Amino acid sequence: MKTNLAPKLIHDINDDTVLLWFNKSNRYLVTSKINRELIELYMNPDESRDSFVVYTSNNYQINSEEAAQLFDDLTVFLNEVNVENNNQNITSKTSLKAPASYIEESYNFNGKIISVRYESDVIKSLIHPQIEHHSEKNKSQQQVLFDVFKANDDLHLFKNGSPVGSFKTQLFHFLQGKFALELTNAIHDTQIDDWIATFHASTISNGKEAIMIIGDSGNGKSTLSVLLMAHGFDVLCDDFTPLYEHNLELFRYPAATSIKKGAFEALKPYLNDIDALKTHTNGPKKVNIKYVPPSLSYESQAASFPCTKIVYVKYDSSKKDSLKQVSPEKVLETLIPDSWISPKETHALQFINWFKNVDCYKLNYSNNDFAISKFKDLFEEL
Amino acid sequence: MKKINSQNQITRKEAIKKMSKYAALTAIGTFIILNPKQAQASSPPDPGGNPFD
Repeated sequence: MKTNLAPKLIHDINDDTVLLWFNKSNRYLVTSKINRELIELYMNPDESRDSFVVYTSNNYQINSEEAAQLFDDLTVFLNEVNVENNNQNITSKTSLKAPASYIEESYNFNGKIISVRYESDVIKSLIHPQIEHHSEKNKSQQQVLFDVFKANDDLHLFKNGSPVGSFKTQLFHFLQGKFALELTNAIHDTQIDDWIATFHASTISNGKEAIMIIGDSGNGKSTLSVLLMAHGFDVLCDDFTPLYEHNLELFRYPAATSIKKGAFEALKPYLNDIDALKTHTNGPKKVNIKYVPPSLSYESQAASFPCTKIVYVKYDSSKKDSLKQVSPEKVLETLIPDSWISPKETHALQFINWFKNVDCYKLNYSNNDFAISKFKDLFEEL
Repeated sequence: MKKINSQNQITRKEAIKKMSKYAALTAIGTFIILNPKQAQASSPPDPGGNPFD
């Protein structure tokens, strides 16, 4: 039955672009309105291959051979796009118990005491440096306890004694992501099932609204975040930006911003105490890293902000500095594959509706002052 | 069957041939399949950056 292959959601993003969502596989298709028409025509239960060919060759400027190829492409595409993703590298089932030997650290987030028992220094290095600035010596009021440990080739995360995720060691960035979301829930009293998405993005706020910064690894997202922080903006999130279903706002994840060695010198004029920050040499980034804590106190800042602008950032000294509005597909093709988006239909719909109200920009820069002034302009337009 | 209006007609010029798996579909216009990650994640490590190796 080809109706089983139909996209569950079909939404116009703008005059040219349509976003389709397939529920079986949680995949998205960004396409043109003509392709959407062809898919809908193909889905019509009364439409045979022959009638599809006749109709499309009569109504579009293609011959019947090309129309037949379109039908065959659609058949292959719709079958493939609906194949479910099976991920056996990530589970939450284990019969193991957390080890009795550990390194315990506690953290204070606005009065909430969270403790984490790391089995080893290597495991500690995956999580602790980003939240070290929240360290708390007094553990007596501990409200949530996490255990993180390795058994064979798996990393395990427990919350209050129960497993919440297990990951192959080479996929430790999924452990970090799961921990980040569990910690977000613990400190904001939110529910794990109520997140629409966690974006691979840094997010900046002016205290009223947020702007999300996306870009490939090495594009300078975190460096720009620190620059903006040095100019009075609030870093809501670095690297991990969660979107919540109940208010459609981006929530704060209070991690320090990780800066790679290449940016240390560039940030010195803006960040007086960068030399005083510890340099981490054995992290997952192969290069030395410093973690820059937020300049504003966590307690004084709101937990979440609405966001209607996304900026794709590219540090590039070979091109002229520019900030341009770009088509949504340019942003979606980076945002979606880099992010987790809940597979629930209600969340996919919320994500699409949220994105429809977002303006998309691309910032090319090598001059820091240019980037800062453009962000000031973007916030003033809000 | 509904008739499409003239501004939706694709032209040969627009139908730039692109090499891809679904060549006939991508020739018509934007056709990007996007897979979200299957779980929450932080930045993936750099190649060779696995601290457990």
